[in-house]
Order: sequence, then C-alpha cells, then structure tokens
Amino acid sequence: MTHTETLNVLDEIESLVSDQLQVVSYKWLSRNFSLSSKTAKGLLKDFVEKHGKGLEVVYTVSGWLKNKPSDYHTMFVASSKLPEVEKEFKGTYLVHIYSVQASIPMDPAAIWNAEFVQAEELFRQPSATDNCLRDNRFCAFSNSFVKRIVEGTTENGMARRTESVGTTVQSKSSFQKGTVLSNQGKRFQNSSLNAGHQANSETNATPAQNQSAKSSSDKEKSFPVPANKKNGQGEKSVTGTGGLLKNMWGRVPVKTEDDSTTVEVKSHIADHSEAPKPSHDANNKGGSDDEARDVNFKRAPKNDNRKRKVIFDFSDDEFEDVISLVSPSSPKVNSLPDVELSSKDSGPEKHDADVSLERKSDEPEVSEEDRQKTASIDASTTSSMEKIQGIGSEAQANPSKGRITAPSSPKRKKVLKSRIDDRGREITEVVWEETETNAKKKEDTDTSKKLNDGKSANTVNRAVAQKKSPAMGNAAATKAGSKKGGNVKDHKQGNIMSFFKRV
Amino acid sequence: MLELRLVQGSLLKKVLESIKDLVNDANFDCSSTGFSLQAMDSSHVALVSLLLRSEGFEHYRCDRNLSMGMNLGNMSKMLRCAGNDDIITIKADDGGDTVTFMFESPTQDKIADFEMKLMDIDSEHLGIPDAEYHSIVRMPSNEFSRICKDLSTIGDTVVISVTKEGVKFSTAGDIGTANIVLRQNTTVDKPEDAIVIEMNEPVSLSFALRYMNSFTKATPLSDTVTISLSSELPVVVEYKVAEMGYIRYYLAPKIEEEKDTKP
Repeated sequence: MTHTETLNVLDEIESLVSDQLQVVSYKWLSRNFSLSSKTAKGLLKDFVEKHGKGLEVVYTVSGWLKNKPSDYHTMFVASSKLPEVEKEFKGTYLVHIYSVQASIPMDPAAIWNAEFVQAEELFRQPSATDNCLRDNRFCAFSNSFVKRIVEGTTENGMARRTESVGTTVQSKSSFQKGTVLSNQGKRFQNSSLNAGHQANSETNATPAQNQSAKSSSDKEKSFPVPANKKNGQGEKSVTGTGGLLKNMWGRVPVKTEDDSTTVEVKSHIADHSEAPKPSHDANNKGGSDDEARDVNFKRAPKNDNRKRKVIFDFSDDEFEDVISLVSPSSPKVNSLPDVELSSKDSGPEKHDADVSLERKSDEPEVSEEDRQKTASIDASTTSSMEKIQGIGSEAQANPSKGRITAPSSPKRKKVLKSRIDDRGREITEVVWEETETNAKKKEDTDTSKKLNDGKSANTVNRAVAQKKSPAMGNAAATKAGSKKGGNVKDHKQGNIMSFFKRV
Repeated sequence: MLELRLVQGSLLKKVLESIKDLVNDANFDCSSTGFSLQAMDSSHVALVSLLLRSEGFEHYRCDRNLSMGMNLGNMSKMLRCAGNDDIITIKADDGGDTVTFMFESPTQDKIADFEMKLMDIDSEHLGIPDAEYHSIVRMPSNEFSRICKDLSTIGDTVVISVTKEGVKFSTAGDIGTANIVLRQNTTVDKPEDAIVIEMNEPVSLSFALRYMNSFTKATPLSDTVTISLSSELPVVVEYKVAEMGYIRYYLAPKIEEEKDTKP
C-alpha cells in the first residue's frame, strides 16, 4: 500500500469519524478498502497517533488472566481504562485497536453497527459477485487445501483438491464454507434481528459450538479466542462479538443459560411488584376521587399510610351500602394499632369510639346538605364562584361536626360525606376531615387561590389543613415571594464591577 | 463603511433573542477582527460578551473601528422580520446615525431593507482577564436550561458545587429544597450529549437563578454549554455561536454572609 493511498484512507477515516460520527473499526476498514485486517489495524494505529486527540479509541486486549485457573480473555476496553485493564493480564497479551469513534456509544452494540450493516450488504450481493466475505482472504490463518469458489456452489470434494490455491490467502475448511453458503438465506433473515438479540443467542451457544468456532479460525478473528470464555466478561464484549459472529455463521442458538436468567428476572420483578400492588389496586378502583385521596394520604404521617388506604378502599359497586351501614368506628378498628404505634396527635381518636353514636345521628343531615351542595358543584365544574360558596358553607358546617366528635383532636376528624362524582354516581365517603378538605382543594386547583381567600378567614379546619400541607397552601405565596425577592435589591448579590476593572 | 453579510441569518436572530432580556441598550463594536458586544445588565450583576469573528461572515468589510449604540429590543423587533433562512446584511456608514439591516430570501426573490436609528450609549467597557478556572463543566445546553428552570420554581438562588463526584445544582425555598447532581458521562452516542467535568479544585458558589434563566435564552444557539467556575471570580456561562464565535455570560456570585457586602 503506497503512502498516498494511506493518506487518503486516513483522511477518509477522519471525515467518517468526526463528521459522520461513524464508528470505524478495523473490520469495517478492512472490508471497505480491501485491506488485510492487519494493515487495517496498522492504519487505525497511524490514525490514532496522528488525529487521535478528542477521539475515543476502543482496544481489544487478549491474553491470559492472572486468576487461577487462568482464563483466556478478550476484552474491549476504552482507551481511558486501558492501563487499568492491562494489569489484569499476565505475561504477554495482545493489544489491538478495534475501533475509532467520536464518543463511546451508550449502547455498546452501536460499535458493531457499521460493520454489521456492511457485512449484511456484502452477503446480500449476488453469490456470483466476488467480495471479501466469500472467502477468508484477509484472515491471518491460511489453509492451502481450501479453494475459493466464487460461483457459490458447494462441493465438499473440493476440499481435497490441492492444485489451485487461488490468488489470495485462504483459511477455513470447505465444510465450514459449505454451511455458510447453504445457510445464507437463513442468515439474512436472522440478521434483521437487532444486535442485542444476537448477543443473547451468542451467549447461550454451547461450549461445544464455541470450541468448534475456535478451531475453525473464522475469518473475522485475527485473535483466536474461544467464544465461551467471553461469558465471564463484561457485557460489552459478549454483546459485540456475539452479535456479529452469529450473523456471519448462522449458528443456531442453544439455550443453556437463558432459562435461568429469565427466571431470575421474573422473580425479581415479582419481588418488586408484590408489595405495592394491593395499594395500587385500591387506588385505581375509585377513579378520580381515589386519586385525590391518595395524594392526601401521602402527606399524612408515614406509618399509617398503608392501613388507611385499605380502609378507604371502597369499590364503586359496594360503595353506597357499605357507607350507610358501616359506622365510622369500624374503619378505626383497622387503623388503631397503627395510630397507637406511630403518632401522638392521633391518640385522641379513641374518643371517637365513644361519640360515634352521636355522630351517626348527626351525619345524615350533614351529608344530605353536602350532597346537594357538592352535586351542584360538580354539575357546574367550571364556575368557580359556586364552588367557593359550596365549600365555604361546607366548611362552616365542619367545625360544628368537629366539636361534637373529637374536641381534643382538631387535626383529624372522621366525617361522612356524600356527593355525586363526575360519572354521576353518588359517593359517600368516611374521611378524616382534614383529608377531605385537601381532596377538595386538589379538585379545585384551578380556583385554589380564590378558595384559599374565602376559606382561610373563617374556618378552623381549613387553617389546620393548610398547615399540614404547605406544598399546596403556600405554593402560590412562595412563588410570589421568591419573585419579589428577585426584584428587591439583594444585599448578598455580588457586583460584577468588583471583579473586572474598567478599561 | 461597514458591510457584514451573514448567510445564516437565523444566528443573528438567536443571538439577539439571547441577550435582549438581559440588556436593554448596548454598543456593538465592529473591528477588522469581528463584530462584538459587551454589556452589563442594569444592576451590574451580570455581563454579556458576544463575539462573531469576521471569518464567519460571508463578506466582512469594516474600514475603521465603529461603535454602534442600539436598543436591543428595537433591533430584535427588526430582526424578527427576517425569515429563518434569510441572508442578513448589516450596513452602516462611518459617522452615520443609522444602521441598515438587509434581509434576502434564499431564492433572492425578496429583499427587505430595515433602517434603524442608532443611539449614543455611555457604556463602561470592562477588561476581562483571562483566568484559570478551578472547575469547568461542559454539558448539554438543554439540560442546563432545564435544571435552571426547574430550580427556579423552588428557590431563587442556585448553589453550584463541583466535586470529584460531579456537579451539583441545589436550591432551597419556602416549600422545600432541590438537589440535582450530574456525573461525568462521556459514554454517549453524540459528543454533544456528554457531560465533561474538569476539576482542578472543588468549588461551590451561589448564584441568582433569575440571571441563570436569562442566560439559558441562548440555548438554541448551541447544543452544549460550558460553565467555568472559580471561587474568586464570576461564573462564565459560554455558548458557542456556530463556528464563528461565542456568547459568554459572566455572573457575580452571591457573597457569603460573613463577608462585607457592597452597598
């Protein structure tokens, strides 16, 4: 190869790498310019020396590892990690440049993409066409018994013919080649799978096959590495070579490890999904209302979160009946253990049991009122004025309820509420009062500012609720505040004039 | 006589959009090396420095150094009349009191002339020394923009700290706090997606998010942004303008409480 040719190729590599951001590997180079892979590697080395600044280089490092029993490893290593990795090898090891690219791709498979596409195109050429993949002309191993058959017909007997050793170096047994040719169609189908897929099947190839791959020095490998050794390595090398080899040879994947890995994954998923599932289901059943509730509970003390969700899990169908029959005390039974464990302020709730009878008699009236109000609210969702009125009066009703039920615990009161939801069903809920106010707020976020003005002035409950959920109540105020802060002269802010002098 | 022909007219439009919010009036300085601007915001906290090198223009003629005072709002109004594919030519006479923007459509079938009055602006030109920065962070510009936008909903000050773990953007407000940590990541499909952190010394500085947000108006100009930090210096937020120059924003840090504050 003359000097000028080399320069041309180097220029081309540069434009490919820096302008088109293509990964240029020695294989691609070798096939594209019909060079031997050794020359291609040499070219890449020259290129890296001359233009390597700002580019990423992937090396292949192969040799025996220091561990015992010693393994033969081939690794793909980014230039930055090369010294580190080299320490793992003992004695003599090979370091070749594999590819040059603008950046190390996120998906390691992208490293093989360019050469994969190229290989695909070469194979797709009519069988009469002579190209570098029809034989192993660039392989470092030669086998003088193999004849190159451009026509693509397979003759096993040819293997023994010694008279014509073609013009180029040949390497693999004709038996292997026969398989390749006859499998061509299949391979092309396979090759439409993406690299990731292929990587899997490669991983699963049986040792026997890998051994055979080893012995039949395949044309792409200039470093003879048993493929099965790669299993122990990082994903990169497994994915990469695997994807390619599988395409080239059309090897049938045999499942060995695959099963175990999928099982692992499954159980993994199961583990994760089990815990949150019930509560999720609960939340999803009730549509919009439940969503609102869910949000509120997240703000409640951590410990009783889960239990409470369960309490309020009324599916739509049973909803009405359950509410009218079940007294507020029954949910409390569920929640009590938790409450006792966790929070002081919920201690007074025990009183609720004593007064629950009173409350029952109270509640129907209230809920009747509420129902009418909320119905009107829901019917005219857009009119914020109506909402304000409705909620305002509701809020007035609440304090009285609160006083009856649990005077000593102003923060959390159970209340029976009925309303018509957006799908036209009547919904009655037993809720902690403060929770419900939040739910309302959530619904009315668009008008929340106005509502806040209306509410906060006169209602104890509202105030409490707001205190408990600063994120909602104060959001508007905070934002305004911070903006004001920006406009007001900030004394901590440095002045640029103190850093730069006038010219 | 001044005549600058910029084929990629949209660049100039984007440049204007990225500085007009920070600065109202500014002097554009034209010399044989290029078209530049340096201006401070009204509170003298931030400084913007723009350079468009002469090589980036298809045609660049500047007989003698010229300083043109322009209202950036008005200039932006005029440039908005140019199409994104238009070729923009800036023309001015020595000693004249107007500047002309000429917009040519790519097919040359439409030519528009906009003449704008110049103004006299007293501006203080600051000498910006070349400095070694303790830490330099290069990251995707839209990521930076997103971080500033998100943090400004929580608080009004961002603390940018660079350690060997990465770069951390944090803020605190009445509703809570926020921390965003980015780690060096060069394993990306496109070089512009990389997050590159060069740290010589760890550094931590606070800045007003209001200004940071106005810096991110330059995001359309470049895929990457470079943030250079030094404990004794204003932060530099730099966006490259195609191959022809840059916009650099300098922002004075907020001073720690114990130090004396300037009135």
